[in-house]
Amino acid sequence: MLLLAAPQSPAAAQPHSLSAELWGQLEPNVGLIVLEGSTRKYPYVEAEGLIWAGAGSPQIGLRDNQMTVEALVLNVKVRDPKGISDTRLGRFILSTGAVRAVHVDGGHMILRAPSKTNFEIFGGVPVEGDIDGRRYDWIAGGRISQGLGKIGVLGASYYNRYNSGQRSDEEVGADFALRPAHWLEMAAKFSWEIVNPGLVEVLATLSSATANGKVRGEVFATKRDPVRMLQQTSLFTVLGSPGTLRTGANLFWRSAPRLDFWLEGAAAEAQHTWGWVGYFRTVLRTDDEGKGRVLGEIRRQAIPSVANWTGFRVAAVIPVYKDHDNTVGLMPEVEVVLPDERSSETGLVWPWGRLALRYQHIKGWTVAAAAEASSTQNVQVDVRALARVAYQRTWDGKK
Amino acid sequence: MTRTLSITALIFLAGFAGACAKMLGLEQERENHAFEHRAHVVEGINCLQCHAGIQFTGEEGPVHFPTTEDCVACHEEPHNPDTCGDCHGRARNRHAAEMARRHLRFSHELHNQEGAGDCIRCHVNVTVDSDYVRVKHPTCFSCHTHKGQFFSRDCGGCHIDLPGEMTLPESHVVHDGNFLREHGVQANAQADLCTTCHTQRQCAACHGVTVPTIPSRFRFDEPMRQTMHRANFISVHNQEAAADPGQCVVCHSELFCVDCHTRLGISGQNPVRGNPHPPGWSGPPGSSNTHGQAARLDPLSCASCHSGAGEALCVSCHVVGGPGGNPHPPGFNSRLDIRNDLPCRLCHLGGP
Repeated sequence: MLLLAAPQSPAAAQPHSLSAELWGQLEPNVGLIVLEGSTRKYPYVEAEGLIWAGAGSPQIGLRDNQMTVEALVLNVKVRDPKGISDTRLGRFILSTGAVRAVHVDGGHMILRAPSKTNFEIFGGVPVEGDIDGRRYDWIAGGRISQGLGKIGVLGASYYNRYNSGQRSDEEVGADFALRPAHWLEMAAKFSWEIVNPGLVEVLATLSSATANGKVRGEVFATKRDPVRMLQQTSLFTVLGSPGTLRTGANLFWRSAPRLDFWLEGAAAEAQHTWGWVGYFRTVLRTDDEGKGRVLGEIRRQAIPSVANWTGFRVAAVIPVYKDHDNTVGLMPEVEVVLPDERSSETGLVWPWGRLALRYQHIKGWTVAAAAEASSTQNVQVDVRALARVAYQRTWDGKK
Repeated sequence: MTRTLSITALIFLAGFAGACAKMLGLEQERENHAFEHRAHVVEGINCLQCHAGIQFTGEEGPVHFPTTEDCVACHEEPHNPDTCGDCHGRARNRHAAEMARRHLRFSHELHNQEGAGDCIRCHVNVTVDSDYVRVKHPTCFSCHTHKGQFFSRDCGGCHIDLPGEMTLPESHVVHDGNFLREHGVQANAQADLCTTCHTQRQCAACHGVTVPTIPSRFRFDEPMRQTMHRANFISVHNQEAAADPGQCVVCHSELFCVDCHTRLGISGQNPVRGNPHPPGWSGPPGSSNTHGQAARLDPLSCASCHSGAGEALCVSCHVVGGPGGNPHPPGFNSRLDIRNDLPCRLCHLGGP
């Protein structure tokens, strides 16, 4: 009785959510059911899971006409109440320091020292899904990072990865994310392969924005050695190492309360050839809340003998009906790609279009359907239908 | 006649500019603006006169926005018969306050005991013409020692559901520019910061190996979503892969290509589509063929089909002593040690 009469402990009140989703496609025929849930008991533990089952024609994870059941995410995060440690166990995406996002079944632990020094250790078995071929055995490593208060964080990391009993990757990395002034941010990551010594990846970005956020500029550089990003047990690592480099700038401008522009251009090197890539995008919101939107985009890749095409894309979200409980929207989207090298064999233009209609109810129901058509160099005319029914229930936590 | 045309054109231009201004949000349909908090403060009006009852509110309950009836209690002759809140105070800021009420653990009642009705002590923005009066971290931290929790990403004590609050981080990086490129480097440096708002499911939707279908197909009714494999990606994916193969390998195993192509029947194993390589691709030693040069320029393209068991095809010719000769580029010097020499031993049979 005393327990019932006592006010609810703040620690007992946390959000929980459950959702179920049916997704289907006609021609080729695919059906999926996706179940998702998450819960949290502050400050000790949180858990999330997403499992799906599907059948039909081959998709990314589906075998032809076979029932497939898979977990995308299934993990528990345990936390020391004082924030000294976080430990995640299960299936999750591991991404820290030199490690490029890896889907693993394993664990990741962060230990925090009062000096704002973090120690991370991680390990597990990379998820292979339903792909045939070689199996990666395991991955393990660690990272040490130093927080610099509000300014940011510096880190150094090491990991190795085994494949068929041989070390297929052994990388060291350094990284930082800094905000030395409220208008300036910078972040970079560097990783070096030890098994087949050489640079693997360098990512660097430096950005600045006005106080009102209406204008933001960024300069960036991305250097990758794809051969060293392969498992070093691959035969194709002995063929030399044609790296890729991109360096350029991105500009964002909110020119009016409802109108945004993005412009990006970069010099690009691939296969020992230089060219450029870039895009221009604009989004117009048709109401103050941004529920209706129109997007226009031009994209260009011009790297001689490697990638040469221009794409034009238009998309919109059109609110058709709205009352307190229900909303209905229409979403047309069209993209036309013009390859520089055109022939009757590959087609002169590769158009793609989709028209979707969505109904949403305030209680968490979503019903959507779409028709899609495209023409590519491989398939002259491809017409598909898509449908999705979803229900999500969230418990707000305070109730 | 010319003058009439000029006047007509001017009227048309003015109308067009007006329509554009309305469309771009420069001239809003309902001219809602920040609530005149400062004017009320200067007049010495107590906050509780409009927000009556807020001082007794715990973690739940209404947000205590004044109604039109509350306004006309003082403003006896309103200049407009409409609801006052239509113009006075921005809807988005009221929405932000409602979200905070719902997802933030905060009790005015407890703070009122400490602050003795001094609202401005925390809501400093009411002294300027702003109706965004949510309290910022430095104000909280001036009394509460949460800096340690801030460092350890322990937000849940106050922020029950950060995504539900729909509050973007003050930091402008990542979410404003080219998210697809920028988020990776940030996530590698401070992934625990990302996870204060984002779930693993959001990462796995793109980076997961066992994802059932790509996000742009699964969420086909969200065309504004930024995804790597947008709309018509499939028609240019081969060119995008050739332009930046490292980008693909970040998420996909090199076996992903052949796996998908084989399933869809778009591969050399398909008797209808036949050999994907052009004529003169390979030939006997000494003949002019192009596959060697192409392989050195883009080894990942080769790996994308011939990895794993497919490597035997290359080895059958390029084994030491075989007809294919030395496949290494000029100046190649393997630095693989004996514990990591699997690719070497495929061709260098019986080597040390």
